[in-house]
Amino acid sequence: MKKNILIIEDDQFFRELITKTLVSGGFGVLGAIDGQKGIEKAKESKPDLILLDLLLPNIDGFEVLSSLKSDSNTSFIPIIILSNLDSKDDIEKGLKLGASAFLIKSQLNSNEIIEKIKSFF
Amino acid sequence: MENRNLKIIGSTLWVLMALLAVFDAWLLVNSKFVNSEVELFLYVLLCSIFILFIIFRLLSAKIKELEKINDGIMHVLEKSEERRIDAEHIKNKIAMIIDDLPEGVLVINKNNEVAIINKSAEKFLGADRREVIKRQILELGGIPAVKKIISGLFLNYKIFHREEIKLDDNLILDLTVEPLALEKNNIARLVTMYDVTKIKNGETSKNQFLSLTAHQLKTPLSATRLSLKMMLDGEFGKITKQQKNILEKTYKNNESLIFLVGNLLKEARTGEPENSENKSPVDLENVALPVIAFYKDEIKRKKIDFWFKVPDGKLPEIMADGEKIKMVIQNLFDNAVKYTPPKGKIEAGITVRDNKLEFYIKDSGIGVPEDQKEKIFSRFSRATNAGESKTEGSGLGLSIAKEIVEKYHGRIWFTSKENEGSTFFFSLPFIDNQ
Repeated sequence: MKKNILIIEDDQFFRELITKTLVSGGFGVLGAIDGQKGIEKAKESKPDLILLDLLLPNIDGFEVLSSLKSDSNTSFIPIIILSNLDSKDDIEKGLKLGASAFLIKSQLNSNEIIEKIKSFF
Repeated sequence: MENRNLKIIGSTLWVLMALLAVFDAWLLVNSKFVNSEVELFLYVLLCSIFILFIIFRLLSAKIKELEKINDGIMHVLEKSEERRIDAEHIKNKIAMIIDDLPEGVLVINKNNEVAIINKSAEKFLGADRREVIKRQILELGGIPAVKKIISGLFLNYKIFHREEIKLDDNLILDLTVEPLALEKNNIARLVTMYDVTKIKNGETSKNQFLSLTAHQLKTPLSATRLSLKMMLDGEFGKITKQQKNILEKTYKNNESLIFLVGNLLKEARTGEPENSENKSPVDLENVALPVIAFYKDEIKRKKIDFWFKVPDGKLPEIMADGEKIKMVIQNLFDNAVKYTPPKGKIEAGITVRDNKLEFYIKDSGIGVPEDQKEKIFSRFSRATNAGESKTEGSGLGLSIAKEIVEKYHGRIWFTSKENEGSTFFFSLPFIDNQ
């Protein structure tokens, strides 16, 4: 059965590229353009995995992460952070809040992202 | 008064002597009255008076001399008292000036007791001088600000030391500690504290702006990178050889921009005020290994002969922010890998020298031309031959590395010969556990 991935990313072009990569990799894809909509979509559609940007309008990625991990309806969903915030503090904070992995956007290749996602299933 | 009396006595004696001489002469001329006994008596009298006169003159000269000496001594005593009073005034003035200085001043004597603390230091540290004077500095760890400054300053460093310490959000101090007397294991220390909060807050705003701008730039650059990579990998359909060539060049240029923006971010982070809590003992080898892992693929791709040498056993640790030291090593590695031609050689390693850890990286790259050596650590400096090597660089890496190393009281330098290669070194003092 096709696994559904929710991408919470405000940059439309980046979201489109990831969507294309995931579709090519055989995944179903949902998108959200900010933190608030991301939380709503996660609760509503309960995806199999979430790709989460950190610098988001209104509610930032860290808050989205805390919110989803503290809600029993969504806490089981693996979340991979996909961000250009690459400092040790940000990575540690993300992992501490419950993210399963941290990928740096500017070092990302489509193969890597597919491999990383597949490792969760 | 006494001088006047002496003069009267002296003059009287002169007159008496003159009268006697006249009388004597008269006796000699009128020899009929001469009686040898009388004459002898008068001669003896005359001689006695003369001798008395001589003795009197000598004594009065001596007395005058003694009086002069006495006056001199009294003068010297008066002067030295004046000087003592002057010195006391100056001492009080200096004490008042030190007390009113906007900079905090703290003097720790050789027994590690607080000897002097001025008003500003009291304010900065939240300490009351009545409670801290003559107390052991190590006993004052109950005062949070004192605890922060003593951890690094008094235990690890026995030489001149400078550090920026963030005591809280509203107070950042630039702190210097210097020895007042150099005796082995017995050093009094002068601690000076400058309030640099306003300057640093200004820098923080600038750095936050820089950081935000760099992040905003990184997002579209990352998307461009990913799209180009997908095109090159054929994910949007087959591309011609010519298209591939152009895309590869665009991809490389985009990578350079990402690296430049990354360095701008690093620059912003380097300028952040140092929080002593960010510092912890750092194992240099553990910091270097992930950097080596990061460049492994590129080293392999360029078929570079690579060596990393560290001494056996556990290395001493340095007190720093490991992330920043990683930036230094990463920038040095980046240059070495970039400027070393395929099938070249790179050797990196760590050595222990005196009380310092020394990191080095030696490459067989393009080297730095003689006339460029002076400005290689300046911002946006790239050696003139660097552009010819078909590699991209921002010219910020070495300036960032230098700034970080010097922040931790270290030194960075290099040796280089054009077309033969360069060796970059940096050394940092390790923690003195003794």
